[in-house]
Amino acid sequence: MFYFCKFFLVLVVIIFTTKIFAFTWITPNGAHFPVAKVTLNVANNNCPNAGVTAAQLLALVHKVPTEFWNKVSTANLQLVKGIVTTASFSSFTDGASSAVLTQAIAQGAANTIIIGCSNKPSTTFSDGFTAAIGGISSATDVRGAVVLNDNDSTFANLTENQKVALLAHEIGHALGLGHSKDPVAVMYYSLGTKIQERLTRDDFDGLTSLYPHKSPGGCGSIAFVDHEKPPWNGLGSLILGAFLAPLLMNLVEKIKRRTTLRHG
Amino acid sequence: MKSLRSFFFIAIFFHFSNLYAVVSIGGFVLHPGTQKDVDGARNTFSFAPMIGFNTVLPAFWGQLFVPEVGLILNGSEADEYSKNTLFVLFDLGSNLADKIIFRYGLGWFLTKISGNGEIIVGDNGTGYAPNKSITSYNITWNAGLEYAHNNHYAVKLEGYLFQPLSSQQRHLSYSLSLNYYL
Repeated sequence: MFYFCKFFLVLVVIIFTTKIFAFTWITPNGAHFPVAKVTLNVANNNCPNAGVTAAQLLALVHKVPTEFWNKVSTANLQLVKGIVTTASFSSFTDGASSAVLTQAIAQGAANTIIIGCSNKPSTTFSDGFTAAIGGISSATDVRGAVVLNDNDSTFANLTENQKVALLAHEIGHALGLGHSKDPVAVMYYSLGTKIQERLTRDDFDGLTSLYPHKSPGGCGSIAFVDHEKPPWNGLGSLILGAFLAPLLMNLVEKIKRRTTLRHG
Repeated sequence: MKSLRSFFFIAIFFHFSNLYAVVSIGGFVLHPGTQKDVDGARNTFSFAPMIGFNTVLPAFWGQLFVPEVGLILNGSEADEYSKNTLFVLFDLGSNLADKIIFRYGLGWFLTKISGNGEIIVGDNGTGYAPNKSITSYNITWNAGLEYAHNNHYAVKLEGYLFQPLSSQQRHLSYSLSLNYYL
């Protein structure tokens, strides 16, 4: 009994050291993509001051799904690695951050996020963002954009891990997430000096709130109207599990029989 | 509140359906691969409190059917939103050794995130808390061991594989609990 009391004491200490969560949405009603697969494309102009070519930027962008947003098992979202596509990010006429985003979003397509750089902002965007901005629009169809500031060398001076983390943050905005109060979260407003190699629980919850897995096994229901059927989730997984269970039981029985023979 | 209602409804059903009802309390580590510190450390041992109810029924081939319903309380610290996870396990149990039961089966996890929709002014810009309750559903593959200390107490360690067929989203969560057999 003493050991069980000790076990619970340790458990209670661990429980009360949990973190504060605080993700937000970028819009009051939680703007998000209506599909489960969103493609990440890169504009075809190079970014000399930001220190990357379009091809190098694409390679960095391709790391974001596998290292960050595609890891959320409770979210029905899969970011798809796209291509370098024709777009004119260099022709923007207004340098204010909201205007830059609007102009970038206009270059994209439905259910895609376009990422590129522009030299239109002077040193910072009008409201103080230095390296990059990201956002989502659901005006007609849903599309997102990320714009790197090519009049600033902040991005060029980051390590590769920091560049990927910064892109993950901006792509988070393009998926509909706002800033988080959790200083460890990818969606915290500043990268600072922290090591950001993976998402936090707060990021998990934020993405889950916008892209939940709808009810599995809802035969005949209208549960999947606004989302695609979750990949590898739901009824298919249940049926496969039901097939595997008897096999596993058989294996356990065999192990038991062998153990009995050995001891008997 | 809906998940709490469902939890108690199923728990009461379990309790009255069989004499061998079990109460379990312990900790649950959801998403152990997530980051918890600015130095990149992971949430490997960050337990969230959980409470569960089991029942034990005889099944075929000498196996036991040990369904369980549980509730993980993992997000009430936040001002802006709350998070609860309700799970229902459809486990089978097999006696591996004298006091050890091997449990395996399928689980159904309901992750519920609720917010009050308030405007949140952060360090850099304004955001919005969720203005509704959202529930995400997952099917898991489970496997674990239960060690019976005596007739009343047992310790259970069980793993839950989320998104088992997706190479990118697949991850293992686990729980450690003390089961009390009534």
